[in-house]
Amino acid sequence: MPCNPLLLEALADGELRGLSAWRVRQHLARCPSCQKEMVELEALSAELKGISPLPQPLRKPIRRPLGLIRPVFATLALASVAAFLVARAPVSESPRPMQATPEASPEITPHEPVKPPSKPSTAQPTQVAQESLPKTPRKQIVRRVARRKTKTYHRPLAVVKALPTKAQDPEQVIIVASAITLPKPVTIVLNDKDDEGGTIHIESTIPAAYVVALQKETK
Amino acid sequence: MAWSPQKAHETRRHAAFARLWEQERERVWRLIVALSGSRDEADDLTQEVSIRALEGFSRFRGLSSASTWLHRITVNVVLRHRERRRESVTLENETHTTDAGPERRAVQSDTLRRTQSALEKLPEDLRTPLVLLAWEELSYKEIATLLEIPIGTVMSRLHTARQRLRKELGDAL
Repeated sequence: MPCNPLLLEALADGELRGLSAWRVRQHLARCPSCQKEMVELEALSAELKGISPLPQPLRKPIRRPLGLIRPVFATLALASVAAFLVARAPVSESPRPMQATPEASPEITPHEPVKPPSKPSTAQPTQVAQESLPKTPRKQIVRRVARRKTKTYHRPLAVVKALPTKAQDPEQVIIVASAITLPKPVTIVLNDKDDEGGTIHIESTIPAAYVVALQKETK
Repeated sequence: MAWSPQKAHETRRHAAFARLWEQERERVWRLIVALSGSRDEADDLTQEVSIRALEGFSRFRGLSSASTWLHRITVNVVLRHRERRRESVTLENETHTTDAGPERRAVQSDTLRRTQSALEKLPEDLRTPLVLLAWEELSYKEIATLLEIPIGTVMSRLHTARQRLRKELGDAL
């Protein structure tokens, strides 16, 4: 791809998405003159922001898309898939820790058995444990995580496809998202609206010049 | 006073405009500050926009959203105001009047002052998209809608404006 200053500016302004952003970034990673241009664009934007007559609290930062799958984040994505699969496997095949019977672990059984007041005599201990769990549908929890008030560009750094499962525990999905420690500018968005069992988007809001610097470092 | 359909229509129209203005007043003020580069005259210009919008509200045919229509009026009022001011004052005086005040001027660095001066020297058709992008943080599409120009024109104007600014600022960046 030849140097195109208009596309470079569009990338710096956060206007490019998906493949077009990826192409420009690929070119940017190889072209020193475009890297210099990008740094100057960032400097000019900062200068312009500095002379803004608008009152300070009303200014809001531009969230810029990254549009490039970096090895670090790709590894994180793969790790998240692995964690997801590992977390799911014992749930479907072995009993849950909360379902342990009092005979199997008498020392951790509380003095007063947890029983709902409506069914004190008929319910077995295992059934009681199951009933005390919050019965929230999977879609509700995932939607609550995905719905955000801040305006961001939904441009995935890496997309991880999860296989559709018959009985999926909603809490496990949440655990996967929170178990992995990610750098601050990176957010994970769970999207359950596609037909392939859900998508995990890993997004970033790192400024363009910072990415160029990181790419240089990794080389 | 006897009831008439015309008067009832007028009352409804005024109520609708009042609702629109209540929703958009702050945004209009921000647009005015961004486009004029100063907060000094923002209140006067906001009032002028409200009067013009109320006058033209009966002719609003709903081809765009009401907020877009109001923002276009804002852009036109501010640009006309700047044009009048450009004609009446010299460039040097103008850059002084667009400063936000002596306190702010004191803390501004030379680079920022040079940037402000270079920005003021740009023609309006180049300056407007740039300040809408940099200060109001509008997208290319929003700028194109507001200024009623194609997105490609927005991109080329932004590019030209940046080139001129960089040429003007030279090594200051």
